[in-house]
Amino acid sequence: MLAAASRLLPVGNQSVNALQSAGDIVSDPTTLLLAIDTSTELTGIALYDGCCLDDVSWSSCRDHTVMLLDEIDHQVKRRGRTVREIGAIGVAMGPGRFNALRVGMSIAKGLAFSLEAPLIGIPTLEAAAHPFRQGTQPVAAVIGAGRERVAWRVFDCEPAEYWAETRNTSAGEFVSSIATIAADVCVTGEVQPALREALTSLTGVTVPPLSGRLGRAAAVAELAYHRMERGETDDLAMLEPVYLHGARTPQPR
Amino acid sequence: MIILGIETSCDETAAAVVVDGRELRSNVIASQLELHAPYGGVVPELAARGQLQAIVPVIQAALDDAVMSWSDIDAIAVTQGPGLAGSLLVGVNMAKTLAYTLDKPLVPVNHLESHIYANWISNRGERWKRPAFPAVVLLVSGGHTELILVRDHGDYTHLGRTLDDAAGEAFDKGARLLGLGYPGGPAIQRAAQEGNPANYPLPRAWLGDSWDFSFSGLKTALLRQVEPYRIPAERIVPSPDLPFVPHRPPVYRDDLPLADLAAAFQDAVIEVLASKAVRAAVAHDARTLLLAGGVAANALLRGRITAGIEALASETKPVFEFPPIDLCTDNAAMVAAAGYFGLRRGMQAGWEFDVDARLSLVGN
Ligand SMILES: [Zn+2]
Repeated sequence: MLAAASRLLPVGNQSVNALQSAGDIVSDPTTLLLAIDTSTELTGIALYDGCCLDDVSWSSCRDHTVMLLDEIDHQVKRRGRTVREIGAIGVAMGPGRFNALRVGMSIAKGLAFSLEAPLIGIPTLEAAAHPFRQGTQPVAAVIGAGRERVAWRVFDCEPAEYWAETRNTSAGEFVSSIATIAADVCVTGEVQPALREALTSLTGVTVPPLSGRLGRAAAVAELAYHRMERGETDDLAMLEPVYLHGARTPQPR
Repeated sequence: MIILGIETSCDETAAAVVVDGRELRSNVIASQLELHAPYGGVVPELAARGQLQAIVPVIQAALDDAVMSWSDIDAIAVTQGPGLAGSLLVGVNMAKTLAYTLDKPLVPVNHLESHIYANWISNRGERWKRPAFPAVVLLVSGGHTELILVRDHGDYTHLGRTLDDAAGEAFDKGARLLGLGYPGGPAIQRAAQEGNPANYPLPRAWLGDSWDFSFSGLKTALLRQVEPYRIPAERIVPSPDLPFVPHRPPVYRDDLPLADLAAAFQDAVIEVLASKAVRAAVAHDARTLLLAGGVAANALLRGRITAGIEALASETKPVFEFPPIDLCTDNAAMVAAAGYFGLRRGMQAGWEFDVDARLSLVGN
């Protein structure tokens, strides 16, 4: 006895790419992109149209659901635009706190869905490293992963295949890994004072000042904009946070 | 008024379109049942991850099935709680964002209240249901067992609730003990078909005159019955590397009276539920007795309540109603229906709207 209009949908591999056509967006030079970053306690949003970039960030703990959309509305209005003018959405994928990432990504998906705008996910460590990747100098990006652990990744370091993956280790293992890099290396991201001390005691390691390490949402915006221009957009259904480790599950019966 | 309902309180992702709180236009549900079955229950983090992947396709399918676009939607209703926080926040943030971009009212809905409103929904072309007040509702599911008096829309009085396990939870535990599958309710109902409940009578917790329920003692009584048939398994040595001791299904001798025990267990749960529901309806002069929640799909429960009402003197007989099976388990059509009646009472959310994993029905 089912109600006539009911339907059970299989889970897992739906694709809603048909909703979007990245092609006509690419040819529009004034697309307004909104970037959202809820990876760490420093929540950020940014607006970028390929020319003018602005961002705002604030400390938030567990109030993302209450604050984020309100802040987006303020930011859009400050820029003299309306939400319906947003033509693309960038979102930081993590790693980070699972629930906070899911708030950011639910809102990003909701905006992309209802505005029929492309969605572009950017790994948070890539966004953290972005402003410092100027030359060939290796850049390491790190963020806290809870319980004295850190998630980190090294960019532009030889051999690439060894470093180009996100690792989840103790802070001590991270420091000793950085110590093995032969070249001068810049370490950015969430570098707590104790970690900063351990890192800067190594020769050839620099940690930019805190003020230089803010503005991660702006980096998400820039990276997402470039990817959008190349037509590299993500699937609205399948995009999910970088979880780093599996759900804590009981043993199967 | 056309309302898009969104429900993500647990492991089901659901979206539906309902007209005027009564007429079902679409009802789409993506269930993660198979994902959680190996663990014998819902794993919250897995559920939340599944919600984020299913939410957009499910809403899209609900719009498609209703043959509607965003501009047809007048308001958005979403489950605020109670439920799993990680799952709830996916639906709430999605709903908030849609309401924001589409500039439509957003209606927060209590999950328990929405189960009640499954009784108002009919298919297109059918006569609209109008359950008469006052109504007594027996809400029985995996997470809830409640008796609620509804005097009017939005006017709820809690008569009783379970003091320990919910009825659906009791079925899950009973089924696990008997080595049956998950979810336990349908598994026990199936196993009980050939059984005689009178062969192994199990105790009922009547709790005197109260409208409350208790099912934890029943599991202990069942354990006592199956113990003599159990074949001892090798001892499991706990490993420090594993967060959980592996669960192994119990192994019994072939002569375990499985059908009789399943029937006795089901009978013990259902008799208390049916009897208290009918007595509560009479005690509160209810014109309607409503069933809601996943366990409302249980055939024995529906039959016992029907029989209980037939046995009453005619002037006190309430009308007994229950929703179709797919509107008993978690769905979004009931959220859209509750949202419609909520919006008529002025329930509308603002920016500060947040999930509430422990939301209660009557503001505490
Ligand atoms: Zn429910």
